[in-house]
Amino acid sequence: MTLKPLAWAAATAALALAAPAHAADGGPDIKFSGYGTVAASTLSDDSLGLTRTQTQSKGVGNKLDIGSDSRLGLQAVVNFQSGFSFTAQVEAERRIQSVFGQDKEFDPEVNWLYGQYQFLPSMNVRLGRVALPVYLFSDSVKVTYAQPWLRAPLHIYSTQGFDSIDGVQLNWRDSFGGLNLSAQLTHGQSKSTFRAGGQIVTLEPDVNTAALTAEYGDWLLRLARSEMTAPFPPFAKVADKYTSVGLQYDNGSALLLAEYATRREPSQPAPVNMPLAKGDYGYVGAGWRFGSLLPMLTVSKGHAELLGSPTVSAHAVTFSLRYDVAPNVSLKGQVEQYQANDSTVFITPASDTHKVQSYTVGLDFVF
Amino acid sequence: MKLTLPHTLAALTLAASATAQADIVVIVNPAAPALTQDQVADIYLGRSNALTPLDQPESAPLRADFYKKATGRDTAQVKATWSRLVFTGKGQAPKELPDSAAVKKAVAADPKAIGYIDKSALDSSVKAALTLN
Repeated sequence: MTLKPLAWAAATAALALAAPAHAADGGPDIKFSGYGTVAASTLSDDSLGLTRTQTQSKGVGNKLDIGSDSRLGLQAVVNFQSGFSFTAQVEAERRIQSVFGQDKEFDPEVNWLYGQYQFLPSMNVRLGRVALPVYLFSDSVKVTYAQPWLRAPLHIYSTQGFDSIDGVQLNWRDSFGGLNLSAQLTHGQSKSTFRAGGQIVTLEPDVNTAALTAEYGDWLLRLARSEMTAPFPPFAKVADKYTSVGLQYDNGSALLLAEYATRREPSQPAPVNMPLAKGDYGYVGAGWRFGSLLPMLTVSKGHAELLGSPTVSAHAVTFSLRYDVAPNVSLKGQVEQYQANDSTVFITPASDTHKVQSYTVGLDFVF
Repeated sequence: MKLTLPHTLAALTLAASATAQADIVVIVNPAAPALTQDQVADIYLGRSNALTPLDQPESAPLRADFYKKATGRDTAQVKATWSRLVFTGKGQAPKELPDSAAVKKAVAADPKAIGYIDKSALDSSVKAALTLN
């Protein structure tokens, strides 16, 4: 069953329920905002094809590419009195279509479309489409203005091809002294077309995610678990389980970010007798702010075992620089060094481990 | 009257520190309790929704001064922090009011509101929850 109509049902319900409040209070509060990135990238090797996400099949080569990291997002939030709100977000970027390598540029997609009801000061429920919160930055990974990098570490953020989920989400947050806790449960169905082993695949998995976040002063710790289950012909059922931990320390000058994730699946029945995929991914990044400048060094690693492919362990080093040009514009540059056999980031990885450099410059903005 | 050089220097120093180091008071409704700097930082960085924060205009020097003193962050860093919350539906950035008088009025009317003003604008309609200097 497809839950797409659910998002529209939620929108209609939110509007209908809020209509009386509208009449009583003289009008809902409507906020429009947006974000975007204009970036150019290039890779020192023309044969590998670097992609930021599995939902792209056109990779960056040694020509200057302005489509791989550029995007535009628009958001509208209608806040009715009495705890109801409605949020819609549309984002356009390069996205895979039906032919491998012929992605569409600035292809718009609805990332968020939900009605929310705040039924307790500390709890709300959302019905509709929400971003899939697998990792620390997953639900805001396209808002790169909010990140130190121009491109979040690919060894975490390119590992799965699902951006959003249609269903229900329960959010809780409360403060205990200086400890701010939040928990998030999401249940529903996702749908995405992405590349897998040189092919284009469309899957509609049932998805459950649970995340717990603790913030104490400058520290943030997030634990999360996501399970995605779908038939993947000829296999009757594939159940991907991602377990991740994320850590952030930011005191205004020093910035430390680290994440680690494992991907596990139960073994397929005989005669396969093994899982289709297994992975371990992680990164550690550290930076220091000098006024409006934030240089940062990030090292990352991906270990992927895919059935029918060689096992690959590859690491990368990234030097990134953020310069806050204005309160809502940042200029960024990023140099990354990968191993050519890295199957997590390259469409057609090489069999050897020669070093490959990626260069990206761009502007992030919010409005 | 003739000013001596030390007098002139002292006066200049005082004048300079008065403009650059003006005390900022964080204000809450008279019915609300006092706050620590960590609590104020949590509220203005969106980590806690215990109170509803109000902002001065983006162009006001008081705003940049407040965030530096209360959170250790500059305007761009604060914008980046709120962007992450705004585009994930976790919060709306603090509402911006035109001046200290408007902030005082809003705080006096709402027991859940919190604002910041120049100390010289403080009066009995609101309560000083924390002084930053």
